[in-house]
Amino acid sequence: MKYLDRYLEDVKYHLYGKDKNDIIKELKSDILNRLDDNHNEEDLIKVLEDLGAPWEVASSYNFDNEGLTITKENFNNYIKLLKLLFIIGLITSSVAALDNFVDYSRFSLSFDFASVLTFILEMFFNTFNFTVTSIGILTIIFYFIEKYDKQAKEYNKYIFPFLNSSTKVTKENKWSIKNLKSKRYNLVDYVAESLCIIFFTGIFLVFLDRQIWPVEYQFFHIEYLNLFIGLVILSIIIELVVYSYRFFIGENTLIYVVLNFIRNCYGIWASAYIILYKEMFYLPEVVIETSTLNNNVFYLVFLINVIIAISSISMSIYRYIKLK
Amino acid sequence: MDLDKHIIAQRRGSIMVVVLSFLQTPKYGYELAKLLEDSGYVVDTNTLYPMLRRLEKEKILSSEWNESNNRTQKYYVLTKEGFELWEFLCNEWKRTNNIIEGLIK
Repeated sequence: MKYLDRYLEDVKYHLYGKDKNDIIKELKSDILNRLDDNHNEEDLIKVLEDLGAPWEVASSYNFDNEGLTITKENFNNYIKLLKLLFIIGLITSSVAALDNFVDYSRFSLSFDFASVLTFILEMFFNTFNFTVTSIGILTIIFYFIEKYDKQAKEYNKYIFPFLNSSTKVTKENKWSIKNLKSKRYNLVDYVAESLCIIFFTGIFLVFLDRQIWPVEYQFFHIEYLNLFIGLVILSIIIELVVYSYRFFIGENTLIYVVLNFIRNCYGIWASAYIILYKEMFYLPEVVIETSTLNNNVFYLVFLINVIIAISSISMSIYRYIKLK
Repeated sequence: MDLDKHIIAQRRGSIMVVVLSFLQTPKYGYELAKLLEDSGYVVDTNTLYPMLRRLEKEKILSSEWNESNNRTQKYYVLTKEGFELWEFLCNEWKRTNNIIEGLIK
């Protein structure tokens, strides 16, 4: 019954609202009614293929979408991302405002009334700014996702008019139960992941910047950039390969598990390399002053990186085993 | 000319009264789909189930999960409002039918 569970799981993923479980239960009951007691795997696949692609089945339940800039299928993701961005904004703003407590002339901390007040105000207004900006950017991104999706459907109608008239088979509808994936929602996932990467990088840069290690020196200093350009290029290549594989083929395969493992191991190795050999990256004319805090920042970032990498590897293995 | 498209459009208008007619007594989705099919109304699963849910949300139908053939099935039946709607739609259908019959004689 692995195909049935996989199919229902994917339909559920594309549904919104409180009735999800009830719809899935009813759909499962209907599918089983269509099968004999002695049915085999091929019979099940035939029934599922007759029902249609999971996202199509789900979209027939998601009515009342007309005239919405962000359809209800995507609205849950939109809200989830906004919540995530709010939390990230709160964390980065708090971290950025922490320097109100640092007295750089003495390298000590001070918690007087003025510092606390400035910290609270700065944190509040930065979070507010960040959240408003996030709403704007995210809305634009989702607007284009919706537009792209609708255009893709129109394009398919134009290219395959003879297929569209009766059998409803379009490019988008070409799917296989043996390799279930949804490009549409992967696109949203990619946006979410990219935003996370950008904002976590932001936290990292804020840490560095606050510790008298000006970030702009590192990024706009060509000699400095040359020191780690190899790591960056290799990282981009690995990410491109993994993302392309996931987008075009899917993430429920053994090859994806292996690629994901390589990608995360590389991430851990690169972080470790930077920490162990970071002295190599210091240029006398760039670094004004360093303190032991810098090491702690690197260790913290490394720890976060290891946790994320282990979770990512575990999740991909878990998904693969579960759906196998 | 794409005749299928026009037949589907015409049936769309009548499908509700047909479904409501069958749901005077409780029936589950697959059972209803079979009855519709036997009476010459082939309704796509992806049309029938969402329609039943929409009617349930509009309080035209009520539903209940029950055991049948060793499986749990969701049974739908007309509510009081649903029955009134069905009677109204039937009368409306007869009226329209008379007009059309007069026109196509």
